[in-house]
Amino acid sequence: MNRRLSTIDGSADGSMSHGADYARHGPRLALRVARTLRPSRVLVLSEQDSDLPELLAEHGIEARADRLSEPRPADAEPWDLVICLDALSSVPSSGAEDLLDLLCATADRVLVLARTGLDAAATQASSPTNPAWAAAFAERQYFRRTDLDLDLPAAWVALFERDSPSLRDLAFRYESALQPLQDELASKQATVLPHSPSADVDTITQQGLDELRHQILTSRDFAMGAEAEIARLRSERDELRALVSEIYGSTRWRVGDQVLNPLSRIKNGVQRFR
Amino acid sequence: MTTTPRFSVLTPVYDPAVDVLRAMIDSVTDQSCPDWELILVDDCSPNPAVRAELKRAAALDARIRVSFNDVNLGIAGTSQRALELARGQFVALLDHDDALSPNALSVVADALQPDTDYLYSDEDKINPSGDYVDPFRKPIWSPERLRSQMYTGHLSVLRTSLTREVGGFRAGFDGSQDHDLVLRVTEQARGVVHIPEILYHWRVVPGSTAANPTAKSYAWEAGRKAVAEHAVRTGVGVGADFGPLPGTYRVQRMLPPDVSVSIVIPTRGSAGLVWGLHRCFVLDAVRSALSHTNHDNVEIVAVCDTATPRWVIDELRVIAGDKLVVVDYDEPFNFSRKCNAGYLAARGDVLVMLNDDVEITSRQWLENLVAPLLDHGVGLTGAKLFYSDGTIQHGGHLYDRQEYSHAFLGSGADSTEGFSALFLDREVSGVTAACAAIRRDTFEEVGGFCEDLPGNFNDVDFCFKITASGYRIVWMAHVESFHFESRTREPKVHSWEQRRVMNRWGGYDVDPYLPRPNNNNGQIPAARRTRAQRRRHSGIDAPAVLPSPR
Repeated sequence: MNRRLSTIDGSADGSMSHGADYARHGPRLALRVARTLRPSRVLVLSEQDSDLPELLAEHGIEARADRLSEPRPADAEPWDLVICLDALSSVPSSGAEDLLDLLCATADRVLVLARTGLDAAATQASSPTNPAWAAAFAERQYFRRTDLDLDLPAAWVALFERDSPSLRDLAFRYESALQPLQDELASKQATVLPHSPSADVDTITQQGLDELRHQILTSRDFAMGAEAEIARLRSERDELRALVSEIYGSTRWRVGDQVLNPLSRIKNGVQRFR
Repeated sequence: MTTTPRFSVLTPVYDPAVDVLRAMIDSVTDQSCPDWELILVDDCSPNPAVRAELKRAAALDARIRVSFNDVNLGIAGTSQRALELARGQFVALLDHDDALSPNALSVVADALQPDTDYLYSDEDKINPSGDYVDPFRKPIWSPERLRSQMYTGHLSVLRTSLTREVGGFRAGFDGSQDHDLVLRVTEQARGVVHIPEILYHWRVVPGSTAANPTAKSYAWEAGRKAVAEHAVRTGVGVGADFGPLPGTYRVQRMLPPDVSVSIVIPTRGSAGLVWGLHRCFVLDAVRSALSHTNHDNVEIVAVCDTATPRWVIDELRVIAGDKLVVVDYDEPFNFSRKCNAGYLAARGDVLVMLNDDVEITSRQWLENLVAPLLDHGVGLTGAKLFYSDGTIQHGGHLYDRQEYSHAFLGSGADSTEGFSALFLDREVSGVTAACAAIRRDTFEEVGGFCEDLPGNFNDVDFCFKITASGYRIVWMAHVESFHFESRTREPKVHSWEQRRVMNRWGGYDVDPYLPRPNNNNGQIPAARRTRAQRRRHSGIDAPAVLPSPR
């Protein structure tokens, strides 16, 4: 292996509430596995007691529960499936490689549940879909069954199966798994950017930028026009003021005013008299 | 008279008719302004009566100084000799057979500002009958026109110190020694002033340039050489060619290949008959535009109405290939908005606005239209447009008599009116946006086209904004195109459109670059002055003044 596997969650004290979660999800998990894989014999590995073998037996599947920390009796017949309950998160880093070897030596199919917490962050961190774990399984010719959706019983479940896929098979699986995510992303983008459901972010940004540039353009035009109009009006005002001053100051105006407006002349005389 | 007169009138003399010489001297001694000296330098005139007349004049007035060359120096050398003798603050150039108006120096003295280094006035001619004819109402300072033609001519008054500083008159430029000198002085001048009054009378005598512009071909070559050296000195060009008419020139310019150009063409794919043939206008516009240029760094931005037929756009792709950018336009017709939409999609350093009803006819049109914009004092360039019958549709805008119009509209292609204006690259008040080039940054600075003017006068408003921002607008006489005007839309002009522009900018009584006779008011309306010009103007009704060449 190129990389050492470490315990995924870093909380290897086993302080998880196994009982409650398995109690809730165990039957559904068993039922789903039975319907999907139709195994005849199932080995359940766990560090704690589990009633999963009984549940599987109720569905006609022979099952046995073993503890990882205890010596395991030799197997008379090969197992169709090994279910590893929370072992990946409880095993110390130094034992991770051994655990994987054990699982892969036991059966051609390995169903793993890393831990039981429903906390989203914890689930992401310690999920068996963690790329490092998936890569470690792949080195042992075990590949994740991306065609199976086991998320219904528990979001932290993954099934690894011995296989010899071609590169084309791997690429197909990878893209098939990626496609729904891309569709979902596009759907969310359309919700967030309702005006252009089919446009990508770059296009949206360019359109917004162009609108801003256009606004700047028309604003500048308006400002220049307003400035010019003010200058023109001021100029006209100054010219008119000068013209009025010139008229009032002219002899013709003063004489005409005296002749044509005697009333004001009398009024001015009275004011002077006062 | 003071020991250092304000004006030194320089007159090189070579064998004039004596009566003409006497009239010239009298026109100086009759000046209402007394603060002058007249320096007469005779260049070995063969007629002894000339020498006698000069001595007689000097004896009559102490302000007249006479010098006689020992050997013939030619007009440039003799003018330089006169300059060396000058004591005045300014030198005024006067030919031996011409005459000054009686108030010429007085008007010049009134127009001088502290930073004036060069001043020129309008002029006319005296025919053999003694009549004053052919008045030349000159434009305000027009550096591009000076490169195309020695339009400032007479009367020219130059600050003496600067004239000497630039080397004075140079040997080898005989016949165009004044053109060469004025080019060099205005390269350095702080202020250039135009006096819109006729202060100089150019006498028409057989053999003189006034009578026959082709009479001095050696002068034409000297002028070409002067313009070529000026172009190289200032960086505006790489040389100069002869213009199509004697005494005219054309600056050779280069357009670097890395200058990217976007040709913006608003269109709706209209078709019509031209010369009896059915054509789709935009296709021929693009085809001719691309086939008449060697500049490869170009894109065609076609702003297409939704009504544009699909096949037209397909054909555009065939013509323009990957140079084509199609901008869909789904709003009611608004030329300004379409141009602005084209700008938003364009990626070029320079935008060329091109109507879809033009057909380019001159080689290297794009290079010649765009290259002047490398001079950052030039904000916009335009082209010479013809109607389909070969008459002039656009020779620059004409803003006068409180109206906006096209200059030389309907004139013949070979018309020499406006002192050969149709053959000269020159500054103008405005150009039509049917074919015009502008730098992207200038377009942004002025806010593009006013979208409140959807159909008409949007280019007038555009030009006013460019001028108000301190740029010159240059009309390129040798960039030619047909313009099948208004074939692609309704040619209706609404009165409110012109009113709207008038409200912003006001109007001219006289166009500053194409003043028509019978009005000597070359004022720039307040709204059109740049901020600097407004400050300089300070409410004083002085002659039109523009800053020194940019």
